[in-house]
Amino acid sequence: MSDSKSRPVLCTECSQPMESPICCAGCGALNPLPPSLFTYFELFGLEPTYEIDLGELRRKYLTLSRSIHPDVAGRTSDSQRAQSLALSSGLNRAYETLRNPVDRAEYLLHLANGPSAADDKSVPGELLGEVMMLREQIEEATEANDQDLLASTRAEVLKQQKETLEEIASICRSGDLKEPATQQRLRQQLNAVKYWNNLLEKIPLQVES
Amino acid sequence: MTSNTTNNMSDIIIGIDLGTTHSLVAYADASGPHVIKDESGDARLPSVLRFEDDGRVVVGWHAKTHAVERPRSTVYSVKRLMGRGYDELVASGELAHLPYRVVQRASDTPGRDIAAIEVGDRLLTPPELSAMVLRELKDRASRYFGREVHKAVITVPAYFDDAQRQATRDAGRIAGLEVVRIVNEPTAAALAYGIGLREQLAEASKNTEKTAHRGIAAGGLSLQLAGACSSSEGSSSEQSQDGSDADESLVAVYDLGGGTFDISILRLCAGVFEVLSTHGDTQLGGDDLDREIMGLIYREIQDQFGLNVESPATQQSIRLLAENVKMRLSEEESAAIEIDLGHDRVYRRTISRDEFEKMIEPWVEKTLNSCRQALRDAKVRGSDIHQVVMVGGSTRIPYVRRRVQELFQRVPYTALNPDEVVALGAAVQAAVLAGLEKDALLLDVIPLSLGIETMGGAMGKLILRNTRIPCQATERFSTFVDGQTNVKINVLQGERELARDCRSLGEFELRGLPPMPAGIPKILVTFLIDENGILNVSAVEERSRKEASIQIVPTHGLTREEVRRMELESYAHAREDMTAHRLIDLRNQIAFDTAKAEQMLARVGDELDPAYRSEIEQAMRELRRLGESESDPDVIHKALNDFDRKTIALAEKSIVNALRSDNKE
Repeated sequence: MSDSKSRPVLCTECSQPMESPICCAGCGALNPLPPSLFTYFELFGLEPTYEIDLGELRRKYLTLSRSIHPDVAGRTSDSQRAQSLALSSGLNRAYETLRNPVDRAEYLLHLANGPSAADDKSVPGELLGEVMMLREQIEEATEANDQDLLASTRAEVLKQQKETLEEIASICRSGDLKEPATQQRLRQQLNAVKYWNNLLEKIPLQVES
Repeated sequence: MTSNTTNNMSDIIIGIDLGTTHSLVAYADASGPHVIKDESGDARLPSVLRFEDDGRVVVGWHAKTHAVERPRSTVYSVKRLMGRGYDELVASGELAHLPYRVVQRASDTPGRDIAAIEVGDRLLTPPELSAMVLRELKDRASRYFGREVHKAVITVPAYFDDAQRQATRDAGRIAGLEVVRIVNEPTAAALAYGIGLREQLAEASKNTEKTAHRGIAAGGLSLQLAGACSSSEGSSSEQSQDGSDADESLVAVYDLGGGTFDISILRLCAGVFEVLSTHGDTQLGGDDLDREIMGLIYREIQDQFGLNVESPATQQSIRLLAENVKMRLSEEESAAIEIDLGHDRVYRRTISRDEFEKMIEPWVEKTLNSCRQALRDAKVRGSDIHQVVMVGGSTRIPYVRRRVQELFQRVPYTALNPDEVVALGAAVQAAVLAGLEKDALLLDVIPLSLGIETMGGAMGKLILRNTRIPCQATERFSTFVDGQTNVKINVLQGERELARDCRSLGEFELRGLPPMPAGIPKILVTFLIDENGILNVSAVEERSRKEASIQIVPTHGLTREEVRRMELESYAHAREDMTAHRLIDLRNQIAFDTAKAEQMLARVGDELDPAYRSEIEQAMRELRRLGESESDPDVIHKALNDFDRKTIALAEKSIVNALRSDNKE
């Protein structure tokens, strides 16, 4: 994947360089470039790395939303509306992907042309036994309505989830994602986090409040 | 096309809250959003319809307060039937509570299930009935502006699925309205809340700084939100890892209306209203709380007197009574009921607030579970919420407020008029779409996951709940049999694993595929959820890049042709009612209302306060005189409404009488 800075995009309407390839900050024109031509990072004018400034991402997302959302007055023709809907959906997906650390790591894996975590279901060796034990613990505590045990189990799962997220961040930060071995390690952690998330979903809602 | 910077006269967009119990219409101008009131100064229009023998339809207060007289022809709570099938309504037990008749509409297409209401010799679908309420509001707004209004923003419960949203949009079309946007009710409320704060802040700064002007652009509402979000680094706390700003606020909107419940968690920041998650129940509201009281009364009358009082007339009257008890219990510690059942049988009962709270506890607990789910989905804790905004008439119940306060650990915000706030928000969104309001931007989510039925009857999710809209997903389809030219797709909405446990939105049939060996045609189907939360489906054959044709048969909804036909019918009806008819109708109404009041006075007049009695008699004489001399329908309409309001206490008394006569047989 090419460097995001190497491709200055010009607005098709006013020919000015655009910070984001989908909407011109100068003249407000929507740019009908096919979204497959640029990465989610390029969309927001960000470097394609795991470490991104989430505040900046959010500000750029909101600025772009203000320009391309279908509610912006004056977009009345069918084709303007269709274009705005397509761009907004693409922008929303890009934002959700980059905002969420797991999805962002998964996306970096995709940019590095690696198989996705879902394609390769491998997990760290010790994970399944641990998940099994915690799941039983949740089921028993739910059955017995043991709020204390549920709360402590939840805390344990949250701790595991946090550690896995830290591991994901550290692999993305220091490792070379083009290396198959690094990719493999990342995929294992990405799959692990899904197990923790599923466990958290199983804990009754009352425990949280 | 019109300019989008000025308030073009031909392009008024009104905001409508189409509610289960009441509906309202509002608009926004430079000074902010305003509700449009009726001739008697009331903004609320009861969403109640009364069908007369001659085919006339009366909408509003009159229909509501006189429900006992025409129990089978008075239709209410239509919203709970919107976009729902007859079979599902039977299965959920919803129909057992209704005195009017709901049937399954005949259809020549298998798999469709559409409920309709039978009134006299007419069979009307919920969208047609809602259209009558919308038309009343549209006419009210048209009278207010002095010319016809054609465009509206209409609100729906956030938890409405696609079929319920489509049904609402259809209702608008049938009423002759272009529905420019469907907005979620809690989101609309948040918008009104946010704009209200902005106005307050503007007001405050104007007061402290006398020379400062309010910065309202000509004809517009553009005013910077005070405390605009400064750009800070992404917070590093455990919960907030997504670049949230320091000055923004997290708001929960708890919306318990007459028939539906929603909870939405929003992030408000510099005019952006960003929904993080939403949850709810489209069959949970004040109606259910009334039914608890009704059930108690039925059971006890049955036990004490062996009487079954579930006839349509008693159902209508006990329902009004129960609603009244519920409202009284918000003000007082207990409410006494007395029902004269005839033959010296009098049912007397005092319901304490404590007892009422026990009755409604399971319902309130259900709403709290929705809140917990919404919090989990938004990845925030109850204590992270800065403000809990209460919306909907049922949030006046002290028990509801108390439980919500416990959950969020803060006193809920009840300063907004819970009846009007949604309509006001709809009007603000109308101003956004008209280009008058430039600060506000709504970013909403889809409330329920969307998917398709896969092999073996599973639900294959394509878009998960609480995904930001607009959004889209694509899926490839092919053929199973050589030479197959059609492919059918069952589109589903819901969270359950099996297709049969989710709601079927409709069957989408790809047609006219070139006959080829099985598996060779590749059709790329795009499921797009637009800003209204409504599904749009398109398909392309990948080889030829040709648009594939899709035939859509909505499972619980109307086809485009059906809506068009209903619009024409409704228009014809409405035109008839317009001019001369209106005057004749109003005069008949006077004759009817005064005769009715006379009857009621004859029966229960002695039990009334003498001053009240003579006031009614005086009003009756004046109304009759007006009917003979006045030729302006609006003046008569107003007088009728005033009279109606004056006689509410009398009508309540007469409920007892209706019960008595009902149980004599």
